[in-house]
Amino acid sequence: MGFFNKLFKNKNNDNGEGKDVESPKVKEDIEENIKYIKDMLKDSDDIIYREFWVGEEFQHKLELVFVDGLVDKGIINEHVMHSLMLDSRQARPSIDEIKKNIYEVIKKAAITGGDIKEIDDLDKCITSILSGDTALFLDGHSKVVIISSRGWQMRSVAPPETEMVVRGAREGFTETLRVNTALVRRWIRDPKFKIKQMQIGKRSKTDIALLYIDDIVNKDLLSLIKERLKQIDIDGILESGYIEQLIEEDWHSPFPQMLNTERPDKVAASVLEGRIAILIDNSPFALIIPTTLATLFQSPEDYFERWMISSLLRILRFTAAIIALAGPSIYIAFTSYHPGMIPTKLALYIASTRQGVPFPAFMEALIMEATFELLREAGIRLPVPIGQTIGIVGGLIIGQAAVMAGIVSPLMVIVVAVTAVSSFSIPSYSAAIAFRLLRFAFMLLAAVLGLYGIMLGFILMLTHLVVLKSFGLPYLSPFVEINLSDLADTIIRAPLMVFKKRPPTLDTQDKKRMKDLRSEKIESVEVDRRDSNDKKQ
Amino acid sequence: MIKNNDKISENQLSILLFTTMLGAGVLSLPADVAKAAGPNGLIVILLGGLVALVFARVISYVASKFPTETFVEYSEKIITKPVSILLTIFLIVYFLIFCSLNLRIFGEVAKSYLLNSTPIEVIMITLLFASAYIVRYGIEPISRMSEILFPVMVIPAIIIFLPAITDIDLSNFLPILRISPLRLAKGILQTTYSFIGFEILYVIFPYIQLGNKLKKSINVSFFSIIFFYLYITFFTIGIFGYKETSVQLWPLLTVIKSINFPGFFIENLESLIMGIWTFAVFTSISAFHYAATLSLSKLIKAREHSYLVIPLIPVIYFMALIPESIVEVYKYASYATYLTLFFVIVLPLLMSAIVKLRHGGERQ
Repeated sequence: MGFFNKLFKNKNNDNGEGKDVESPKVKEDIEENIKYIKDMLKDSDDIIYREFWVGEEFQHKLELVFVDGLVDKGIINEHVMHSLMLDSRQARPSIDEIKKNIYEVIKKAAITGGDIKEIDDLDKCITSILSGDTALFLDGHSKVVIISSRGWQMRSVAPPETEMVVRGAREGFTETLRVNTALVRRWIRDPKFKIKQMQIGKRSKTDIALLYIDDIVNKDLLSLIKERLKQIDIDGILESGYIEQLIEEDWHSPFPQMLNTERPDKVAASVLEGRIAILIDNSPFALIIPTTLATLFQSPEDYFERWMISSLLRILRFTAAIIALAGPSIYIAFTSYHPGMIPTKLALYIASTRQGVPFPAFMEALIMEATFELLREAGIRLPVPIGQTIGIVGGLIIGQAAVMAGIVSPLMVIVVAVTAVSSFSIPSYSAAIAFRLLRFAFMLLAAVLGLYGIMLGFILMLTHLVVLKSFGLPYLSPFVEINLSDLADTIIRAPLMVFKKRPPTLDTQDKKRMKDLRSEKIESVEVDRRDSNDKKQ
Repeated sequence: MIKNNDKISENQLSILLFTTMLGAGVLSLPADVAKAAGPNGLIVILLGGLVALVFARVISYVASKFPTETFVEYSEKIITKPVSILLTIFLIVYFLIFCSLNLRIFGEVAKSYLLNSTPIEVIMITLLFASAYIVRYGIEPISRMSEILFPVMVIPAIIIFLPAITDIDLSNFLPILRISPLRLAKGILQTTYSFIGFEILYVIFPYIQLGNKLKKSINVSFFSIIFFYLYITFFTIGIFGYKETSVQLWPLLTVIKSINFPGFFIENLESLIMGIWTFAVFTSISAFHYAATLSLSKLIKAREHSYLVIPLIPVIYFMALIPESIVEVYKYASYATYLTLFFVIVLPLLMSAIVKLRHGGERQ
């Protein structure tokens, strides 16, 4: 972070200089105000200025300013223009009263829109206009009324495509912050559940929301996150990935130090555990802080299904991660260094299939892995129907052809395929790419040092992981600084009754999570039995 | 939750001690005890472990009187400055010797079992740099690493022997205790070599969050490693008999080779054991490397121990290359036992006596 701090320090100074220029206040003369706004928003042809006059003799000039396309025209037509121009004639406050306190008049009598506020800062007014609000200027009044009229074309709530589950909610986040916060709010109706908003990005002025439950969250963690968010000084935030990379601890690491998710239920669950979620406007991905390696292997479904099945799936995923990491490298190590360690029949078979292959095992594996990565990358870019075709062409035909042409051995194709499938079964996409990346390092190590190379790779990777922290929380958390009740939700997912407390590693304020119904029941049964025994005696 | 005090808990200490003691020596342990005590190998391990435990407790007793200081600082108060400096240098050399011995034995085994054509130097230097990578970050990551690797090492090692339970001939352990007390004592002393590693207690006390479980955690780590050693020695001598065991260099690998795991993909399980053993050696090497670096940094009053990690690499490396052959390695190891004798038995007793006398004096 030292590097970033230095970076931020310089920029903060710039900021300080910028603050010397005070933003102009709203003047009484409407022409001056409009002129300022027109100057600032010169050459922006999507801004609409609508002048109109009200009053018995049309003596009051009013002007609406808004961005075409960002506002809901219905609100403006029905609830602003219509009210002001037609309905207001029926209620007649005196002219002086209007001049004195137009805001009150409008609020009380004229505008039937839902959400309005009054500001006197022209720059703030411009930001509001550009966010999709409508500004209402009135001649002779030194304040401007901001009418919330945001409404634009947006994608509707759709299933989260990268995190599908069989059982569980089908809602995924969209690109609109307000919709996303509402999606989470629907899961948690606690008054202590906070959605704290701020704007980041000097030019983009992106809305960012921090989601947490006030009496659960660890206050140190909260202030640390706020601190780091404040330090960000960048022109624009385009995706949650920007925030992730700007506030993470170690930018050398291939591992994601924040979990990103499209699922509101996952965010709600994390917030209930005492974590903090960050939602970013224009991004359907929420960030969850802090994140450990174990949480990357959790899927919401684990908690909805029965615990034995979920535990089996967890074990499967951890195994899949090891295969995704070391599958090809184990093949390389065994075939080129330790053929004596595989069963003799299999060793002979491998040797016979590799007979015509002109490359060493490492090159063979590298070719297949690279081909596969290419196919995967191409599959993402291509339109969906063609993408599927590429999958079939790539997976079946190229594999088959490569074997027939004698470039790779059939076993290699199997290894690559199993590795690929394994890497897809890790719930977090960012974790899966980290393993994909490290796979190549492992292959190289195996090619040079065989099985010892793989072990060395594991040692180096684990060293990196034990050093790594996500906002003060050790990245391998429940596995290091061992805590049994936390371990119950890692490689296995213990029955829900076990999780009576929130994860102790998060050090939350409110530690209790549920009442121990079962043991109470057992106790009461025992008491009953004792009572009846007593009676018998 | 947000803590970065570079301290380890007492539970972590327990695991750290276990993984430090479990090192390269485990491969030859059954042969050592079979040579020393014949069929009474198990008794020797048990007694040797208990002796080591007693002296570990003595060391921790002395160190716990000065919980914020390492050996370098508190020995100065107990046994005057010049002696303290001299002993510290010996202690550093002592840590380096065992670091390099572990490294060399690992190199030899890896070369003969895994990488026949790779030069031993490459194997050693890569592991040494991996150790330097973690030692630079201090004791917290080292003990976390131990925590991660502990189940990875112990669980498979215990499971792997289970299919061989029918091959054990219990008569291999007879006759019980028909051994001269002198030979028994010598055997116990030799076994202590397998428990080397707890000497890091001399220097790591300032980095432990001391509570009231210190004694318990030291006991737990010793009893678990005694059990672990007993387990593997029981199987090795039980299957091979003490005569066959004692003539082998690494009987543990041989015995695993003979085990046929039903329905398992890998034919020779020694690859699995080699992998586990790599972790075991790594945890020992990194702990010794850390202890040496830390003592050196305290001796020359360096601000950070991390600057001294890299300079020690060539030292360890060349020390590891001194023995000409594997036979000589074990010869050197037996010489090092004399140093062990001093640091494990003589020095703790001496220091605890001084501390006790002085404390008694203060009370009066």
